Amino acid sequence: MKALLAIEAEKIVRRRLNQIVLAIVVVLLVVVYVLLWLASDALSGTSASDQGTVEDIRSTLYLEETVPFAILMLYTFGFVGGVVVIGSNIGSEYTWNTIRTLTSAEPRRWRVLTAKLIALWALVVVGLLIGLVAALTTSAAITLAAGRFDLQFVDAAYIQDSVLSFLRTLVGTAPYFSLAALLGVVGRSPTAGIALALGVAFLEGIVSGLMQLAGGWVANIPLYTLDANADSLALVEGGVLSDLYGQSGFGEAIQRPSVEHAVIVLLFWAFAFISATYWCLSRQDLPYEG
Amino acid sequence: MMAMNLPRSPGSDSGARPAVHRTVLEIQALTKRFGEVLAVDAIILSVAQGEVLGLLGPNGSGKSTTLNMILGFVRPTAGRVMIDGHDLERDRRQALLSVGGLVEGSAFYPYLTGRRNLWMLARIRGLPRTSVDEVIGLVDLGQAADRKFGGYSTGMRQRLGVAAALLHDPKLIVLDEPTSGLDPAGTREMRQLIPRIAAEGHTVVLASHLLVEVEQVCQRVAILKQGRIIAEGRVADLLSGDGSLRIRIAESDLAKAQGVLLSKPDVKSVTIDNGDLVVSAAIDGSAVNRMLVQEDIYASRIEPAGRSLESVFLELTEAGGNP
Ligand SMILES: Nc1ncnc2c1ncn2[C@@H]1O[C@H](COP(=O)(O)OP(=O)(O)OP(=O)(O)O)[C@@H](O)[C@H]1O
Ligand SMILES: [Mg+2]
Repeated sequence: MKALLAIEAEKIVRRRLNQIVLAIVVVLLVVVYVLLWLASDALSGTSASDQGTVEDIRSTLYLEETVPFAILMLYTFGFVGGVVVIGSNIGSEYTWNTIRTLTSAEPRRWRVLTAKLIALWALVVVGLLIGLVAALTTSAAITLAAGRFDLQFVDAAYIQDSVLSFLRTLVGTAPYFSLAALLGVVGRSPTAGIALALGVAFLEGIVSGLMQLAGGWVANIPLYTLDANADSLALVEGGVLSDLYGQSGFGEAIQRPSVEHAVIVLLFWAFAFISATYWCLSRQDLPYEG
Repeated sequence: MMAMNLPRSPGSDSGARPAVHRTVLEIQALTKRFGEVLAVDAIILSVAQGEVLGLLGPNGSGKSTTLNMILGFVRPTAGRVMIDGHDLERDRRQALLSVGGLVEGSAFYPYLTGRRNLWMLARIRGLPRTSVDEVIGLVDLGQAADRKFGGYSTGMRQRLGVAAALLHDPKLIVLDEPTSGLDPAGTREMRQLIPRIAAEGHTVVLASHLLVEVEQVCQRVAILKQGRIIAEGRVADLLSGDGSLRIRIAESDLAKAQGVLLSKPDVKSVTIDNGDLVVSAAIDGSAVNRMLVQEDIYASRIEPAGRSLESVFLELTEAGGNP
């Protein structure tokens, strides 16, 4: 297993696509910070706008708010980046036919998949951490520029909150990443893994919004699917930006599941998708794809 | 799973095997159905150690599917594959570790060099990196080994694929059209390489529709048609004719000679083929020659009218018509 993990890690690190996706996530995070800063700078002091909201936005850019705010953004960018990386690293094994070469060298397919999933998940975690560091750095620069630099807010509770919200991000994205892996195996291509997983994420939000509007027992179904639960974890922090975030879908119309409920449902789905991935790979024919 | 309750073949399962000529590959009633298509239909094959078996057949006859099942890529619908005494279904890992192969095309990570691709495989298999240098030398990949696989030409890809098949020194090696895409020099090297690895005690199954290739490197062939083995045997036996003779004489003498021979009681038939006389007779070449000389007809050549593998192949596979 050590050898398999080592080669999976080597494949991930050497693949240009993975480097590019990581760079894009980091650049997007920094760009959002800079743009919001410039926008709020331009708006502040003008009479036309709502100065309260402008000040709210500005304060989320400061170091004190970085973890909740950056995590909210990572939830989106990191989620897309993670799905792209997982879907393509798994799907490519089929389009390149390397799944055949790999499973010849290690006939126990479950071992091949386990090494791959561990390596990819590690990549996602490291990617999210790098994104977080980039956000902290940008935010520190902005805070410094605003003359508000001060680390008084860092205490045990703050660190605990930060770690918890990072963990919530991992749980909230886990079922989507697992789904990307499953669809990559079933669809035997990167496109299938990426497009279908993103499609599910997008459509499910709309469909569950409609279901909740329908009311009655139908309205309760989304409590047991992905979108409402993932939102519930993303929006724990509250604040002006999470309100903006929630309004992008039908989010505000619905009753929001508790964090405990959300964690259980999301982990259940992640487990189900991963199990299905093992099952499919173990039974699959692997003919040469020209 | 695939309970077929087939009779055990003697020797394939027993602990004590004779050191030479034991069965390395044994296929029993192997069948694969893709939906409506019956790709492989209950084939039976047995290949002994050191043997090179040719799998011949027209396009779509099931050669690649058979090899894919031997390599564990495709799950049989029914039947059994035993590799070096290990049942592929029940003892999958041991069976698959005893086989290496290249079926349909080679498969590597395009963004890594050929050498690094092989290093990875060696690492998974627990082999030293020197084993990689060895097989790279064997397939004559040269400088290309250190270039990215994505930029390889067809022939280089093929060579790397064969290198990967040989990397762990497997007992059984299956190759599907290994010379496709190779230049003439590469083709010749590959055709020399195959008998060499067989001489080292490896067993080779070679699928091809290049008849010359099979004739050159295989001792035995199985001819597939629509998923079924329609002929199997030693190449020499398939090619040997029915005892008739091919006689080269001057064109002006052809009609006279035909008349002379047909008048003899021991001669069954005389036909003219391609400017030669083809004689089917119960007597040998010298007796026929004597008959001709007595009539002042002189043959420049008399030889057995053997058949080419091509004519055997076409005769067998076209009989009954292909869909
Ligand atoms: N993955 C698959 N799905 C469906 N049908 C398949 C699949 N693989 C092969 N077949 C069918 O099985 C039959 C045998 O195909 P196979 O590739 O084994 O033939 P072949 O003898 O290797 O032919 P060729 O000389 O063209 O390589 C064909 O009818 C083919 O269409
Ligand atoms: Mg083929």
